[in-house]
Formats: sequence, structure tokens, C-alpha cells
Amino acid sequence: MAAEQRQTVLIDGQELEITNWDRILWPEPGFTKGDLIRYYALATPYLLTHLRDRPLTVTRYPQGITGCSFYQKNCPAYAPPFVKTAPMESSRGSEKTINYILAQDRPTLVWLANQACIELHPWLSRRTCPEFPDWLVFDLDPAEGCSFDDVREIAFLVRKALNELGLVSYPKLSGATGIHIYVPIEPRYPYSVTSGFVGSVGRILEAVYPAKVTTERLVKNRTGRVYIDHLQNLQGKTLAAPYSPRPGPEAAISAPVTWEELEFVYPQHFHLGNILERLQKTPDLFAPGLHNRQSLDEALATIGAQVT
Amino acid sequence: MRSLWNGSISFGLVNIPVKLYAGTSSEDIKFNYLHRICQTPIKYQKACPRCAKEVGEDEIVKGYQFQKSQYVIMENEDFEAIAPEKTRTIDILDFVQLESIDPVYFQRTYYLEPTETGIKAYHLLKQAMQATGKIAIAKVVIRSREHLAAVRVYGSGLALETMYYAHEIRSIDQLTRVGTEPEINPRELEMAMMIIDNLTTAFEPAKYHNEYQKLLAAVLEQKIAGKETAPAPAPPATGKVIDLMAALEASVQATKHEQDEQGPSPGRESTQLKVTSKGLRRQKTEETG
Repeated sequence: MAAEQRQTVLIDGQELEITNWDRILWPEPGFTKGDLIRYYALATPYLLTHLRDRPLTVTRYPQGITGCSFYQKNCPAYAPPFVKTAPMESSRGSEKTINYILAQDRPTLVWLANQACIELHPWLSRRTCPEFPDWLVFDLDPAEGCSFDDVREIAFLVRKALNELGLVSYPKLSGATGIHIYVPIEPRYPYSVTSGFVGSVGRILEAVYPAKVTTERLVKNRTGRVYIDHLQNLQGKTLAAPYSPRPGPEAAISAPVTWEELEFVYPQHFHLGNILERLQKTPDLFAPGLHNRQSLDEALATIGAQVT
Repeated sequence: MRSLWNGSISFGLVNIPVKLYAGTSSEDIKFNYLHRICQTPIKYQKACPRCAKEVGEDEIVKGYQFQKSQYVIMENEDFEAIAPEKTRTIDILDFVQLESIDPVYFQRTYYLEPTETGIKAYHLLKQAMQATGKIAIAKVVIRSREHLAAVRVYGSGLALETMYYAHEIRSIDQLTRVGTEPEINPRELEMAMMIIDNLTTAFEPAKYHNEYQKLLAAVLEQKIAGKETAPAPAPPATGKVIDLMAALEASVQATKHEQDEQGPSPGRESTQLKVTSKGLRRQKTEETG
């Protein structure tokens, strides 16, 4: 192992020590921690739009994606003083308080990159009203024996169903094998309602298209179908943020795409090597959602009528 | 509060899953030792006076002095071989009358909280102990050390007190002027009891304050306000501080120039991962400029 690298850098007026930037995090394409730092620093506006004010869980890979990894919820004591935090009750209803990191600025993102935080998992709600998410998410995952084209097909089916319910939705590549469909909503429905809603829509799609859609909890019973997971819509769940890197071998980014692009993109289309180029050409495709928080009232009423 | 230990209270056939919390905290103000001249925190080094050199952790062993300058060496394995079994139980051995334990035996107080499944059994045990005025004597292993302990009703819950073993308590009768009692005049005794009566009130712990700590905090506050403070030591020099954004933008520009001049470079900037029907494959993109 080469000698330890250390360098103090100035970033938006904050001093921060960067270490071991040549350490390889993704061995196959050969992306280093320096590449991750560069991405977080240059894609900051995109990342912060979806991270700011949201309690953050990160997955750290200090030795790269093939080494050991761990979730980090609590902000460590050695965090630099500029890192903001939000004390939140633990999601499991216990009295334990977790002091979550808040990614509010570029120095914090660069610090996270230096900590080899590859995955960024923000809450779907903001710390100011933690019980009420302002996004709901359809997490589409291909089960064994199922191709990305199947996921693509089901994504369009979900989009159609949501359209019928009067809801605009935005797709992103999970960066692994699936697709996440985000629906911006007014933050006044508790997680139980949003996850219930996603579950109901999932079961309706399963009922009309049982050959390709499943909401089955048992992995072995999902075979050959696309799993619509509604349980990601719970407080403290760990869904990769828009523009979050993923720890897969391809260094893929969980990148928003347009519905038109979804026709032809492949699962790891965007990765650490081409994402910055993409961002230079494409605005944040999820940003319109921030100004289009939708009411679920009618959709819930419609679904309710169908479910009962 | 953060729990220190998870386990269960075990007595008879009953197991009550509980968490252990520290019941007390010391609020002493902490100080660092600094080198007076440069105000750098003092570092401690372990050194061998005979070899006249600093020694690392792997060069240090534990020795027990059984005679002057005579040691037996204890390796980690020696300790491990006899380490108490890491049980996760507070094993209740006996129940005794509360008043029969003198406070001299108590070391530290911990609080016990039942987990979800232990709530009923916990409160049952508590009520039974309350009704009988009994306190439980138990053994518990915390951080690989075996402790004698007492479980007692405290407030609305149960507390665990770690205890000294009998042989760890020194006899007060070793003090020669304590062991023998002089003659006491009944009138003097009566008067002493009257004074005690006059000073008797209910115990209100919040009434007593650590005046020294308060004074110390006030002095520190003054010194900080008056800038009479030790500056935080500057981090060891790591060369020049680099402006990260400027450096990154420069590197982006450099890459662009390179590509403008040489066309697509074979570096990673122009490699893409592509999924085909045959799976994942690396391929060069047909970038122009």
C-alpha cells in the first residue's frame, strides 16, 4: 500500500482534509475516491436539491466496493464542525434518538465523499415535517428470470395508472437492476398512507397483469415478474437518492431520465465516467416535481373505491 | 439514554429481557495538559528505561510482581482462558431484606429497562419486591468482568447496583480510636440528640450544589471571554491549502483541451459500460470532440 495521502483543501470557504484520493473504490472501471470527490463537488447543485433538509443515511465503503461496508446513520463525533445534523427519533418507535447528517452544502458532500460514502439515502420527508413525505416512490425490481425490458414495460404501466389517477410521475434508473418512479406529493399524508397507496396501485396492476407484476413479499414466489415494492415508502428506509452513486461493479448513478429516454436506456446507463457530461447537457429532471407537489385526495378516493 | 448492555434478568425459570443504562454521570470539568511554551497538548510515550527507547503496543506485556523485581508474565491467552463466560444474564442468587445491605457495598448504579416482551414480567418482579421489601443479590458479567450486584426497586423501575465483594471492604475497627468506646454522660447524649432534631429536614438532593465546579466554570467563562485562552493547535502542516473547486475546474478544462486536440482519448473518460443481450461489456464510445 502506498504512503498515506493527505491534503488540506479549501472548499466553499471551509477547510477540509482529503485523504487517500487514489484509493480505488470501483476496481473494474478503476474509479477512485478522487473521482467520487470530484463528482460530489461538481454535481453538488443536483445532489443537494434532493438531499437538503432530509435526514441522511449513507453506506460507506472505506476499502472500496469489494471490501466491507456499513450503514451510517449517526453523524460521527469527528465530523467537521460545518456538518449540520438533525436529531430524529429512531424510525422503529423506540426512544433512541439518531443524530442524522444533513447534506446542506458542498463541503459536507466532499467530506462524505472523502469518507467513501458511496450511497446516499435521504428520507422521503424533510426534517421539518418528518412524518409527512413529499415524494412517494414505486420501487420496481426485476425478479429472477425477468429482464430490464420487463421492468421498463411495467414502469410505463405504472405511469399510465398514475396518469389515470391524475398524477404526474418521474422515472429514474435505480442504478442497479430496477427503476424508481417518483411522485411528488403535498407533505400532508403520513408514510402509512403513501406506502398504502403504492401497495394498492401495485396490487391493482398485479390483478390486471399477473404474468408480469408481483407484490409478493417472498422472493422465491416472485420469479419471472417485476416486483413493485411499496415498503420503501416508510420512514427511515434506504432508497438511493436521485444522482446517488451505487456500489455495483459499474459505478452506476441512480440517474433521473425522461419517459422518452426510458424507452432505450439500460440499467447502468449513467455512471461515474459519464454522469458529469450528462449533467452539463441535462437539467435536473426531478426539479419540476419540487414545484408540482400533488394532492393525493382524489387518487386515494379512486383507489379506495376500487379496493373495497 | 444509550444502553450499555442487553441481556436478561434470570430467576427461577423466569427470564426478563432488559437493557442496562448508566444511572449516574459525573459532571467534572475536564482539562488537558499543555506544554506551557507552545500550548500543544502533551503526548504520553511509553518507554523502557533500561533499553532507553520508546516501545510499541506489541512490545508490552502484563507482568505480576510476586516479589520485589520478580514478575510472572501473563499473556492475553492466559486471561482469556479464565475469562468469565460472557453470559448475558443477571443471575439472581438470593433475595435479602433491603436494610440488611450497608451502602458501603454499592459501587455504581445502573438502570434496567425491560424490552417490549419483558414489560409485564419486569413490573411483576418490581411489585413483588416492593411488597416484600426485598432486594435481589445477583451475579452479572459486564464487559468481561464478573460483578456482584444488587437489583432493587428504584423510583418507578428497577436499578442494578454493582457491589464490592466482602473481602474488598476494609474493617473500620482497624482504626484504633474507633474500636474502643469511652464513657458517655446521658445529659451530653440528650443534648447532642436535641441538636440533631433541630437540624433534621427531608432530604432534597437538588438543594446541594458543587460550589467549586460552579466557580471553576465561571473562571473559565471569564478567561474565554477575555481571550485569555490557549489557541487550538494548528493542524500539522500538510503543505499548501488547495482550492478544490479551482483545481477541479482546471482539470476539467485540461481534459477538454486534450480532447479537442487529440480527439477522443483512450482514457476512462471515453469508456462506457454497455449492457447488451450478452450481458455487461465495456466499449469505447464514438465521441466527437
